[in-house]
Amino acid sequence: MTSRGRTLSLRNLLWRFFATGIVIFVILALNLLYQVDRIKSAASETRYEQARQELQQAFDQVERDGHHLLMRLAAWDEVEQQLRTPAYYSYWRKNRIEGSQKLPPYVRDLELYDADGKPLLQRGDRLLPAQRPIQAVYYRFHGGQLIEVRFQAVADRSDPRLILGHVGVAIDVLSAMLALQHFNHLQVDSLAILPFPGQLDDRDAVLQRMRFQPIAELESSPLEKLLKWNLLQFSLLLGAMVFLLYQLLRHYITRPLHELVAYLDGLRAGEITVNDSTPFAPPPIREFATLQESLHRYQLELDQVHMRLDTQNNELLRLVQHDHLTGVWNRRAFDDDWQHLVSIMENHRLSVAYLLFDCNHFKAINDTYGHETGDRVIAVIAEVLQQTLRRGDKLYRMGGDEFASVLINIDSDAVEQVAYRCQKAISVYPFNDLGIREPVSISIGIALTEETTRERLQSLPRQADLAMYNAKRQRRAVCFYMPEMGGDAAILSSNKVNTVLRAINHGDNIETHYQPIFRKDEEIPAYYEALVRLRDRHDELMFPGDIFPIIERHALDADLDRAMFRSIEADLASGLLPRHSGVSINLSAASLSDRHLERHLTALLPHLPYYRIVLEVTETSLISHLQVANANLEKLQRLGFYIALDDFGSGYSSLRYLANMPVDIVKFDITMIQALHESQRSRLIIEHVARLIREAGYDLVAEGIEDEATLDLVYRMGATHAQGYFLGKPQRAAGASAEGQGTGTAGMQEAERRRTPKPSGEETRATKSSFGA
Amino acid sequence: MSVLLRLAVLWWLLAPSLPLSAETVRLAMPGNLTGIAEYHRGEPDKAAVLILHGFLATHNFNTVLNLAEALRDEGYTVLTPTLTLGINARRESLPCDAIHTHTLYRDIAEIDRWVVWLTHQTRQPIVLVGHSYGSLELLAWLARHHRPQVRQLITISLSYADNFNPPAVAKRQIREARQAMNRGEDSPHRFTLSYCRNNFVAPPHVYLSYMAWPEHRVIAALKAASIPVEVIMGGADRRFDGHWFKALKATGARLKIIPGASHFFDTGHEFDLHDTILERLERLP
Repeated sequence: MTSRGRTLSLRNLLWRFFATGIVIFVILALNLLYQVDRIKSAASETRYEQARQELQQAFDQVERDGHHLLMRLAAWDEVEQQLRTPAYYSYWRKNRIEGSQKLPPYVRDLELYDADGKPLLQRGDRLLPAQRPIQAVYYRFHGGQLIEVRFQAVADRSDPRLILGHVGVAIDVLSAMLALQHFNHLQVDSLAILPFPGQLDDRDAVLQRMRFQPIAELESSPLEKLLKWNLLQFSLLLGAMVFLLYQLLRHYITRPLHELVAYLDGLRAGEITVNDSTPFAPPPIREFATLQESLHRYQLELDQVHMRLDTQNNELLRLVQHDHLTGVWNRRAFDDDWQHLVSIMENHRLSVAYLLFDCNHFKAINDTYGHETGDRVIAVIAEVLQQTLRRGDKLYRMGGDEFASVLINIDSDAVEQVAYRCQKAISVYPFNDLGIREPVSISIGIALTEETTRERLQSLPRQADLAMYNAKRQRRAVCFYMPEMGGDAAILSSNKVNTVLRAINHGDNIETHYQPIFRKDEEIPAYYEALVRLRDRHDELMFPGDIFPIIERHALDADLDRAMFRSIEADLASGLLPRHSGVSINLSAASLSDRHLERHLTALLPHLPYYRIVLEVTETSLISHLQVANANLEKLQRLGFYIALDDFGSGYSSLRYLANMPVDIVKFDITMIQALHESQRSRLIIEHVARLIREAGYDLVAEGIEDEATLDLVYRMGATHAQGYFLGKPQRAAGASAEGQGTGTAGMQEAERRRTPKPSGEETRATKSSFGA
Repeated sequence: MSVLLRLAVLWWLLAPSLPLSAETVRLAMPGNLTGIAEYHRGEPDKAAVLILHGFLATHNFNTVLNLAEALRDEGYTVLTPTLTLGINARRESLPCDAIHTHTLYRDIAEIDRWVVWLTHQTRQPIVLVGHSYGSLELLAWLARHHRPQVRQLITISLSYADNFNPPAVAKRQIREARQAMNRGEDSPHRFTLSYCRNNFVAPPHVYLSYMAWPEHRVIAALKAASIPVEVIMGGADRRFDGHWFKALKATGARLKIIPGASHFFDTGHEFDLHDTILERLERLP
């Protein structure tokens, strides 16, 4: 789920949308105005250029007209008459020129000059020069006017080679322009000339001194105003539309959505229930109404699902925290409660008592009357204890037949009373109803502290465990932990014993590891040897070096074997080992001599078609119970089990026994392999024994292979299989981290060797001890 | 061979002065002026006709131009001069209010030069045809000159000096002009002359020269003419009244009045005019 910080609200989105639209509109409008301005500038330049061209055309027209005028004058009979006989020139000029309409009004002056360039009439106020100049045309600035002075020679009609005289005219250029040219682009009243001294002969220079303004584009200015007005109107319309659209969206979409969200939030917060008839006003949009309906139905269904989930969760929580057999709190609930208790009770100066209950001889009951009866016994004990404890005291099943309870703010007397009340309630319960003839009793270990430091509280379970151990050992019903019972070492020892006992009784802490055994020249293991590992309550792994001394001390060899059978069967069923491989199981002397061995192995029979199951026995155990062992092994061999003689060479190694035993595989003891390196003689003997075994038809397994040289040596010796840390360490499953990392390989293999059980003579004692503890 | 060579050289020498068809002829006139005329050489056995334009007009005046074309078409040699009126190689009609420095006497002199020039072009009889005031000027030339080759004078819309004006006005102007001359004044004055109503700008002597040929002098000249004079008048010419026609008739001159014709014989009457003149030319002795 994304955070709200990265999502946009609809209102925000709308604002952004409208803001973006407005920005785009403003940009477009500005661009439009810019384009209009640019077009105006271009039009202005065009108009100026057109006006300039018009001015030039007008100037050209004035020049042409001036030229034509002079040509007409030069060809005029009366001019010829005046030049030839100027006697009446003054009269003629006054009456025929000045007083008549013969000349255009922009001709400011006219003068006839004789052949020498002298004017026919001497005047003072003339625009024309007193002497005909060299230039036929020139311009002068006079009285604010641009005057074009133009001369034309008049040829003698009798002899055109002779010049009869000259005609000169002074033309007001600007007036002539206005008279001769219709200006469409030039603003006539703007036409002006910059003053200049003297005279100019170059028409371009004159043109450059002319000033003018183009006619303002009549249509552009109103068009621009119209455009701006329309733009303003459109802006207002757009703004109104945006406002209207926003209000519509707000009314028809945003507000219904907000109400819908508020409704959903209310539902989630529990402020509103789906049963409310009108959660909010019906939205005006049909789709929203449909959505609301859908959400409402969905919320209804969701609530129902939540209710079911809550029920299931409660049930699951109950199942998770309660023991399914007895209904009391389980180990998980204890761990949670204990951690919580330790955290809140620290330094509260309230006494805390930890009571640990354990059923005496439960294993014997279980073995004798079966698991079903054993389960019923456990359930009864739990029920009785729960009823006997004080109201509110919790009873936890810690595993197997072990229960615990924690009592707060209680002194030792009260604890003792509770404990004895519990013990008495159990002892008086009619277990005969369950078919149990022996009396059923419990031992109670109590650890009490009034010092509620964390360390003190955390040591209570171990202390209660030690007290329980002492209660069983001293055959007392209730035993308080006393410091003289031992410190951490005793607690640790007690912990290991309990771990082993738990493995035998429940088997849920057995973690069987498997070490591969390779056939010569094959890379895939032929089968695996099952090696026992136990997981204690502190989640630490317990190895054979710690396990077997306890097993031997308590004569639990056969019990451990059976626990291992169950563990291995579970592993095979779960596919932990690859099919068509095999597993090798160590049998103790006690199991070998057990007349019910075949029955104990029944669970493994379904796996024989898929797995090669090897039962490893030692020659010592064989010799100890020769007849029973032979009978068991022959029966098992017929069922499909393989028999391996383990630790060959570590004992008597009588070949006569070997020949009479139903053995398929011989495993050389590690001391035999080590002896290969001792002397030539030893080596020769071992090689010959190996050849003898191979020639007798046995598979020969060399164990303890720790390097490649030894591997080559044993294969040359004739071994068909090899096993050792060099080839593969024991591990839980393929690909898992191998154990023994950081531990010397020799130490680990030595520890494995120590699993060898005691002779069967001690089995009874061990069982009795266990049973009687 | 030598005869042919001589003829070729002679033709080459004379060629520039012998117009082969209608052409503009320039002829030196008194006062260092050049006169211009259109000349068309006609058939060698037909008469040559000099047609003179009216008052202040040119040879391009319609009446003159159309008549000249009609005569050319009939094979007559035609010369249509333009009097200079004091303007060198004059091309246009002279406005009334232009300054007029020409006189009747100079006009007669120029007519004589053209007649002489024409006698040099042909040996055929020469007929002078004048229109309006040009008729008066030809009559005045006839009174002063005698060229044997000139056999007939045909006047069209023959006029006299003051025919436009009341006699009192003419008398007053003449008196004032003479007084001015007596005072030694030679500056231009405004006169009423012919169709120039008080805008004939000229020194007094110019005015007086044209006023020297009043009605009675014209009548007298007709009577005293040395060659046959044919007078053709328009029956609808409003410039003259019946008195003038009677006077003309009384002169013994051959008078032909074309009914309905105006002073200028325009519209359809020009053909009557042309027919009349052609008839006279065909009967030329």
